[in-house]
Amino acid sequence: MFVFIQSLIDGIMQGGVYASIAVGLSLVFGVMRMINWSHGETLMWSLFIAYFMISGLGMDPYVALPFVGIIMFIWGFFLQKFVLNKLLARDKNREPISVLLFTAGLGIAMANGALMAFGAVPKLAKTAYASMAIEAGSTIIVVSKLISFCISVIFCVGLYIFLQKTETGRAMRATSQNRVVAKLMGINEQKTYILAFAIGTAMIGVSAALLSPYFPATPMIGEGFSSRSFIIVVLGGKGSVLGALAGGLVVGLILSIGGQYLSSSYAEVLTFVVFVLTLLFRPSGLLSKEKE
Amino acid sequence: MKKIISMVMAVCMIITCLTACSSAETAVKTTAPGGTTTSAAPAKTNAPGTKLDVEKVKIGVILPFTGDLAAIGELMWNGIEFYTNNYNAKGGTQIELVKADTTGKPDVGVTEIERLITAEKVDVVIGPYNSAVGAATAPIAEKYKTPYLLICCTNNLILTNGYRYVFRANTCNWQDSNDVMQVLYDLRDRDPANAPTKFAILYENTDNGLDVLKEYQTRFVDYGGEIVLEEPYEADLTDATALATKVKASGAQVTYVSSYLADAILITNTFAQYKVDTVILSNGGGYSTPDYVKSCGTTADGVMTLSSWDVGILANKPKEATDLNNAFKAKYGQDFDEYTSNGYLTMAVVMHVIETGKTTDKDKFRDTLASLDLPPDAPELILHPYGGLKFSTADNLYHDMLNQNIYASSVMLQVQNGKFVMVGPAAALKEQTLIWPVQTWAKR
Repeated sequence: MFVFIQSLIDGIMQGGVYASIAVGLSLVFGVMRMINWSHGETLMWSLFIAYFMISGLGMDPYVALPFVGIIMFIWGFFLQKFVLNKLLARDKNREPISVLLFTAGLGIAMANGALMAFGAVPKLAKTAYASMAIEAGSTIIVVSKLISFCISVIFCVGLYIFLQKTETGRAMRATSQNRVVAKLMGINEQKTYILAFAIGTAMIGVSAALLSPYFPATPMIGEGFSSRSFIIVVLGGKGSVLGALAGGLVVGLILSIGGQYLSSSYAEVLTFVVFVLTLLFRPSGLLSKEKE
Repeated sequence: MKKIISMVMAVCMIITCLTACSSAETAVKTTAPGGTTTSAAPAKTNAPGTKLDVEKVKIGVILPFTGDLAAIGELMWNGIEFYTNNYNAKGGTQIELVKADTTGKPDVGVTEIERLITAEKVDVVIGPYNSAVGAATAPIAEKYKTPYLLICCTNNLILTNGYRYVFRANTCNWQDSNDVMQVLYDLRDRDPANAPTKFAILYENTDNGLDVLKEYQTRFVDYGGEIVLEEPYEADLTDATALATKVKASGAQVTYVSSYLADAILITNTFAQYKVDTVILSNGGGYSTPDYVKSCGTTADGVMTLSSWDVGILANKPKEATDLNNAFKAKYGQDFDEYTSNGYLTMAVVMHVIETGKTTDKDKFRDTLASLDLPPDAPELILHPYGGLKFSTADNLYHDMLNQNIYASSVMLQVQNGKFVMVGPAAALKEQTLIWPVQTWAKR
């Protein structure tokens, strides 16, 4: 029984972090109908930035968190403003193939750029949280993962409230629902895209800071998180923050409980099975935007 | 704006291309996939008294220079480059190294070895580190009758196909598992009350992982132990929690696992977080790299790993070995390790064969290599604790393997206070250094 409880707790905690990683992708996909293939590589770079802040500047990872978030916000801002908006404008009346190709190439460049800049050796920041754990009977709750989960949920809920209650958030949701009508209503499409993308990359930065106490930064780690994020976006529904949170928890639980009772390999397969079933029977996602 | 976009895309492309190319101090040709080559330095002409009748020897080096395994590829390259620099500095025949990047993937490895042999026309190929690529590339070398010396690439099965041109001077899985078990047998003889009896095996879901599983399934049972868990996992883990909780629930006293560096670090730290009281035992991989102990520090205390090399070996070697290590350390900032030493060894064997046969003819090279019989104090083995170097033959296969060095062996290391300490084989030690039993997490 303790094994099941341990898996449940671990799955929920890890799922929360997956959700915060994926929510940026969901937002971008929802608002701009754009797939950012460099999503995982952006996380990878954020992990390195977090690592250097913690190891090089001696910062606490949770103190470094807002700084990493701001740096990635700025990165997303400029990338969207000066590159992606132009590509989207070019592909206005068709599928954004240029953006797809660009972000795919950017991901490769980012991965290899990191390899050149930082080398291939994994970098794990040494923090006080590394081996801190709360023992409740036979169950162990790793402190760094618990903190990461809590902060992830707070950010996801905060983002949800932002999208629901603020003028800017409503503008983003309106653009994601119908960009033509949104434009007619006076919403600046370009600025909305910039903000959505920048918020998305900022969330990635926050997630990386949360991962940094227990996850090593390596140049090739982005691909794994990219594929997981896509699954979460599909499960949760594009553009849905709460959907991404739910999707993240589902994926976290499948990987944890599946890994415990089957094997890690089968657990990965199971996530793709759920992904395919969702696409077939509920393509709008578990908590699609239409419901919110 | 179009200009800015074009510039950004051009920069992205340049960065990607630069990653595949590199410069070197020796007469090294660097080649990006696609075949563009540059030479870093011209070959020297023959000086009088040169041992060979050839101006240069062209050696194809096929390694993972990028990708997940790049850290180890880089280590191996350092050993190869160090040998090459020293050799070329003597004058006379020059070694020209031609790099080929496998990215750690078999399909890329196949393309690259074919390019090395057919386009670059190398005399010999050495590499590729991981067994998956080794298994895919060995038949290509055989097809083109090009001598291919495997570096690491320990999967037994690669050499059970009767390939005449594929050789391995370092250890294979059978020898590694033998050396691992010898330490356990020594421990059981010395301290039977505390000797481990419950074993878990974590293995990568790859050919080599399955080969290793088969080895240790037999070995642990022959030892008299009980295998309480056999768990496959996919490389490039993003979370090792399930592995940690499974091992903890199994009650395994020793967990055998062989992982690449990133997975090794993640598994070690996750086991520490979940206070899994098991001793990680490995046959190398990421566990035997200097970066592993640098990254994990005292968290890895107690971990035991096989390695082809440790600075402790120098105690039983002539002074030249220590001088060589010091020279290497002066240049690369760290002692030799398993990967740098294997790269060095392979180069030493290649050049010894070429000097012995006085030719780079592939068939003659192959025949000379196959008939080698070096004693343990041969200069080529200056860094290694091998009992010699002699390859198994078709008439005398070594555990069904052809062209395996029958005298290859490893040493056992244990992480103590965040550093590697040589703890086996017992015969190589002046005093007992193994810490057993390892402290539980509750007492740390």
